[in-house]
Amino acid sequence: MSLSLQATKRRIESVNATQKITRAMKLVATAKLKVWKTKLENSSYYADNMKKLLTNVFKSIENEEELINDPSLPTLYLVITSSLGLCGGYNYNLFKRLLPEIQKNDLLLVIGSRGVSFFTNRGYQIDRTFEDAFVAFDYTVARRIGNFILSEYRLKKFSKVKIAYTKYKNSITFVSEVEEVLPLKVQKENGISEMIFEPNPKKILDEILPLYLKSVVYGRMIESVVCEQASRRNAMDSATDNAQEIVDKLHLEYNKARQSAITQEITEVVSGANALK
Amino acid sequence: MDTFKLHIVTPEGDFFNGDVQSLNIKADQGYLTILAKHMPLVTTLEPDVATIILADGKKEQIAVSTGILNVTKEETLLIVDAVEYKNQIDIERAKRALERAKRRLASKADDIDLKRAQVSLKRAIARIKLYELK
Repeated sequence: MSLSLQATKRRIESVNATQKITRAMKLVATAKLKVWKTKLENSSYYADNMKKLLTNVFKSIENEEELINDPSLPTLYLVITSSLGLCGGYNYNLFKRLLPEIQKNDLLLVIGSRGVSFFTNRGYQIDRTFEDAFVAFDYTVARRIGNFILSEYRLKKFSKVKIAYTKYKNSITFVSEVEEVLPLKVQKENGISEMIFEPNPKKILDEILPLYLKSVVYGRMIESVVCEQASRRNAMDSATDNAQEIVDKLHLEYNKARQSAITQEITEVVSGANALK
Repeated sequence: MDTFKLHIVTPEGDFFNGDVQSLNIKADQGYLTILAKHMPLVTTLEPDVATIILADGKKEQIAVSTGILNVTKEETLLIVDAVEYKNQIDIERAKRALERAKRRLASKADDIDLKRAQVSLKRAIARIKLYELK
């Protein structure tokens, strides 16, 4: 009996230790979530204005044909995943959403080592990876990725660019999304805007398009990290709760075992004394 | 002197938002000075040092990277991918970028890389120029 008492005690200790870790990870994720949320808010104003401006310029352009590549070309997917695990279904949900869409000759750009190992294990051809994109993440990283996509797009290697990322709705709801960013789709309106374009709308579009693409890549990357951290916080939160549940159950078991050991000992003593009478 | 609203936005957030007397900046076609009541305008920017005269007449100089200048009736919006005050410039990094860009330009890569190297060269030069300004 005392053996099982010892074993239960050890299990309680080990679950307690695990709980400490999950609780710490939850706190870390909460702190990081706050930082990334601020970044997301800061970047959204830039992206919104860029989009607005792009729409304005696009309206003034009559001939946008050269911006569109042959639709029979494959699609490029930029897949944003995490490099660390223990974040619930964050990566898995994205893969589940994305896999039915990918065709055989589509191109893949993967951010985050989780995505890289997922696609490699399933025999997909990855064209370029940015595994350490989030290590020292700032706008220059998004700039590098954006430049890469754009130069390949201009070489007519693919017709569409889609970003697979996780959209942040609120701290418990995240939606895996596949968003088409190129070619541009802007609602054409009639009417001439009273803007001067220096030197001309075409040249400006050429300049804005890279800036726009980079701002979208940057924004989506940040949004994904926000989801990753929120998802990790939720996962660690329920892990901590579950650990507590197990500890409670083990405590009950331990007390029961201890009580029955005592009862048995008393019974033994009493019956021993009775036998001597 | 009349003032107008200048708003400088970067991907990392607002950089400047306030009333100014004038903004001197290098655009695609050369230096431009924006004063109050300028006509609506959209133009692309060249990386260089820009000068702002604040509402109280004080002069501020900033290093601007690539971006767009959008003058509307309500405000003048500067959407740039990077912008710094003099004391924010990492001079070592700028010098490294300058060397890298020069090397790349010398090595004659293909057309698109060339353009990118030119831009980063200009960006580095703008930063160093502002850093060395008195």
